[in-house]
Amino acid sequence: MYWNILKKDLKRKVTMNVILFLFIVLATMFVSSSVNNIVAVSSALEDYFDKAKMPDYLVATTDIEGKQSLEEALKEIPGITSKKIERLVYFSGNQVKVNGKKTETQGPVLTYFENRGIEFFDENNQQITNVKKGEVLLPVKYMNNNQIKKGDKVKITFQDTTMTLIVADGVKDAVMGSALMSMERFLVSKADFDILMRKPGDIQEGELGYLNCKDVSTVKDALSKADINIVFNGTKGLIRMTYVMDMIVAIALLIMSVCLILIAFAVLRFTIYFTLEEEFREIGVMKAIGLPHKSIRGLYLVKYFVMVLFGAIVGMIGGIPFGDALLQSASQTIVMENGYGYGFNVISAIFVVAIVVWYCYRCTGKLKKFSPIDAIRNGSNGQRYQKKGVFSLSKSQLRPVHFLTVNDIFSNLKRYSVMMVAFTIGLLVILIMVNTMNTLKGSKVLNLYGMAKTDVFIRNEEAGYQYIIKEDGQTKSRERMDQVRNEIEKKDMPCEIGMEVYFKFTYEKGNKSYKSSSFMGVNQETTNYDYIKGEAPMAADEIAITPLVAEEIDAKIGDTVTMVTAEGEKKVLVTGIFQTFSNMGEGVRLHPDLKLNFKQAVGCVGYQITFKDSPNQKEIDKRVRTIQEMYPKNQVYNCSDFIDYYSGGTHKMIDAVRVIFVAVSMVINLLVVILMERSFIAREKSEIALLKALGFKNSTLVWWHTLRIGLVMILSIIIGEILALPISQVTAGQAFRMMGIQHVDFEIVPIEIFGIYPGILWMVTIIGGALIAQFIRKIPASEAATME
Amino acid sequence: MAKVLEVKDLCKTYVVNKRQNNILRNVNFSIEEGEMIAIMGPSGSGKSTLLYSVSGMDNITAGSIKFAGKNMEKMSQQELAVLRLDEMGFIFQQMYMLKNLTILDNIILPACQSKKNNASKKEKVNYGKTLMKKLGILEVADNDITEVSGGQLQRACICRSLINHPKIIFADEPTGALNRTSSGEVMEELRKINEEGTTIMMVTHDMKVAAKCSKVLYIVDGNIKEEYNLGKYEKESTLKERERIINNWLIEMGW
Repeated sequence: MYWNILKKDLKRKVTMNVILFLFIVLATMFVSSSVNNIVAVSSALEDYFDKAKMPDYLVATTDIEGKQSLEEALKEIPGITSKKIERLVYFSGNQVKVNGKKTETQGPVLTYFENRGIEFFDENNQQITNVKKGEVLLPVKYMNNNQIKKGDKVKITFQDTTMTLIVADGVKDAVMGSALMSMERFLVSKADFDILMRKPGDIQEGELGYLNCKDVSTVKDALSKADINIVFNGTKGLIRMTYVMDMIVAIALLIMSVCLILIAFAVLRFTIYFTLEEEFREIGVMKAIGLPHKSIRGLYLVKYFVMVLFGAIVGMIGGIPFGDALLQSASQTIVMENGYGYGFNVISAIFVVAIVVWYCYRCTGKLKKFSPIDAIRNGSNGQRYQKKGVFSLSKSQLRPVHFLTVNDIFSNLKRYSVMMVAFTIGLLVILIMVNTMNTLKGSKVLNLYGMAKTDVFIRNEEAGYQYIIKEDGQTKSRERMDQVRNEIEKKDMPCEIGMEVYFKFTYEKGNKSYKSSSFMGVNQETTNYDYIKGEAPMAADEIAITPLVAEEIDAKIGDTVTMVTAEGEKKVLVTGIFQTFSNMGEGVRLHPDLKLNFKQAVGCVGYQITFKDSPNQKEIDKRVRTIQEMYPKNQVYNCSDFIDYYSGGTHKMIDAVRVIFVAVSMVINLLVVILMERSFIAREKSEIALLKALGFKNSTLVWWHTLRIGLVMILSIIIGEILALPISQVTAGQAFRMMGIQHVDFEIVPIEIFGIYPGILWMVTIIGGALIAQFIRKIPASEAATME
Repeated sequence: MAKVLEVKDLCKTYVVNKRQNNILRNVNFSIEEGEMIAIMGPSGSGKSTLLYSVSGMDNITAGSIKFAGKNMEKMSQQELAVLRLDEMGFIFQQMYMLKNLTILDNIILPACQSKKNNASKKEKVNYGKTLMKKLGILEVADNDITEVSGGQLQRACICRSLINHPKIIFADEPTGALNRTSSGEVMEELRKINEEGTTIMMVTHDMKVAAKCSKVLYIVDGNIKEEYNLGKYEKESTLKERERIINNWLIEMGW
């Protein structure tokens, strides 16, 4: 019997059932693929780290005369159970050419394979056992970014020695392989390394220590007090966090899945209530002949269970290739083997079925309200005085069709709420994503990376070593920047030029100490940066710190802390609190007047140029080209391109996510519109026929229904726009907090937030509504005679 | 008297499961201005189909319908809609109205939509109220449609049918869903409207209703078998006699 009823129902309400089915398919597909992706990447990361023999703690240093070597420093630190130390050579992108062309590099380091502290893997996930003389292994992300393939020729130059090596393979490097890790390791053989390093001279060397320890925090504390120049230090957990970009699409899709499930709930509720209200006679008769409530409920539950089950199976199957496509980018940098299976796809599908069936069970509780009397009295229980209209046509200045539109919606807000909820969620998902993406791509993010707002960047690695990371780098860099400014100003581009230089210093207060990244903006005013509390440091003995540093050393604004540098200890006053992405929220802002030995610097980004004549973006881009011609050896970027480079080329991924979200929201809106408008037409068949009989034209009635959808969408847009920012803070803001940003000031692009995206959704929705409303034409006016 | 409606060789055919069903077969009749005619016949004879065909609500298969000199069969759906809005009034057996509107709003809705005259919204509202007052339902003007009786609702439907000063009113069993008292009241209102000059064509099963009409058309199997000219109804005292005449005639027709 159940099967017969189900078959009949499926035939009778084809559109409604198909749309419900599609929602379940989409929700299951997204949930299963994104959960599988997150689990696969997370578990694969664990396996990868195990195979690569990732240690508990990593510390990278640069050699500075007079400072201890890492090897020496570690001898004095207790609690280290095992250690490996790797020699590194920091070099510049200008020292490398592939097939005769310059390439884009991000913090390249050179090391030799025999010296390795962890294991490396090739592109087929096979462990690398040796690197032959004359060959080089390059990072996969570097090869992809520069379209380098196996067999290409790499020319590396150190001092006067130039060597041409053949690319043997891409290398998966667990420590430096993630998109967010701004270091790229080139692996050569010891024989070739020795040849390249044979001439001692101006080569920046350093060490990378791989430490396994009993207690990481003890070692971390001890290292922060050691007399070494740390460039980077972090736990295995921090390295794991740098792979977050490999999961970002999956995380975004998971959020989308949750939204889809919420919309599916709303649609399901509407569908169930609509079906029950339509079938009051059948239900009444079933009750009248003595069928118990449970059996009647069972009839409906079986129907929805079958539909949800099939939808979940289709969604799960569809989720497999979709998930595999998502994993493709992650598998380029992570060793992922086919051992994870699709278990999570199945579990996710079961979860979707369970939660949706549970919801159906709740919704079918409404059956209790129907009685045999409903069947007898044609759905009327005799209750009167249900005032519905909220406006009066006789008092309104609107034309009838406009009046009916407004009156219908405001008189039946509950009826239109499903549509409004679905449209609002769809829009919110886009707006949150767009706000987040624009914040990550916009100029405001520079401040979060610890940089002042800038028009043009010149990445000058050559200059970095020639002028900056030197004892007198502070003076030399200023001189060099003055020279560059003069050269640029001669080309009619009045500008200011500054540079961000990074250090690692220990800060102490009482018995607490912490080694933190420290930023100095040479030639920059400290007021050019944002502070969430207090003031910018205004003198050499003043600093601003991040909440994380404040917590680590228990310092607050007004406290004096000790800063340990190569020059000795200095007392500095904390004047402000700021926030940064750096090392998950770790940072200290130094005043540029503070005299420092720049040999301690761990790096610099490049020259930051701000034009004094406030040119528009077109002019800035033109100037970028001019400056690039002036400094052909360097890479010149506008602000947006620089952020993309600095964040590991994630803009393409961000744009892909944005496209997916817009497309899915459009599909959601269309499905909801089809479902709702079809059911509205079915429900209002009598009214439509009556209006036709009274002389309303088809086009007027189609316009009436289309306007209703348009107005509901406008109301949803208003609600969505109001909620977008607070919900962005709650959702995306949480992700920023994980990265060390307590309060994110979202970059709002008005044309996108208030124009393009709501506009696209509105257009798609209204076009969908208008097309479905054409069904009105099929209702003959003569139906007015047969209505009940 | 000028002819308001002139129907010639009207045919209406449905094809269901490849079987042709001839609902109306070569129907010929005409209605003059100010007439009130009843269409009677057994169930399934095509009475309502005839009403909806001649009012432009349903398509016809063949024949011609001339309404106030205009050929309706040549009109587009849009033109027919405008014609129904401006020149015709409709009363159905079920007193159907829009749920979200008050009684007055339902009545004035066709007037607000019509571009027939340049009357202001206020004038239209006032005319709606005048009609309601005339039919004795002004006190329910601001009521919701669930707050009035069936008789009041049907009188409101009559007001709605009159709001655009139509040339003709088509009524499909207007008293079919009413009790005896309400039915009598509604018929009395329709008679008064007719007396004031509005032409009425109605489908009915009720001899009491038909007795108040000037002409009765008897339709069987989609064809007008015969028509009976009763003459204008003027006095209450003649009603019983008119009923008897129709009764006898209908028996003759095989009713």
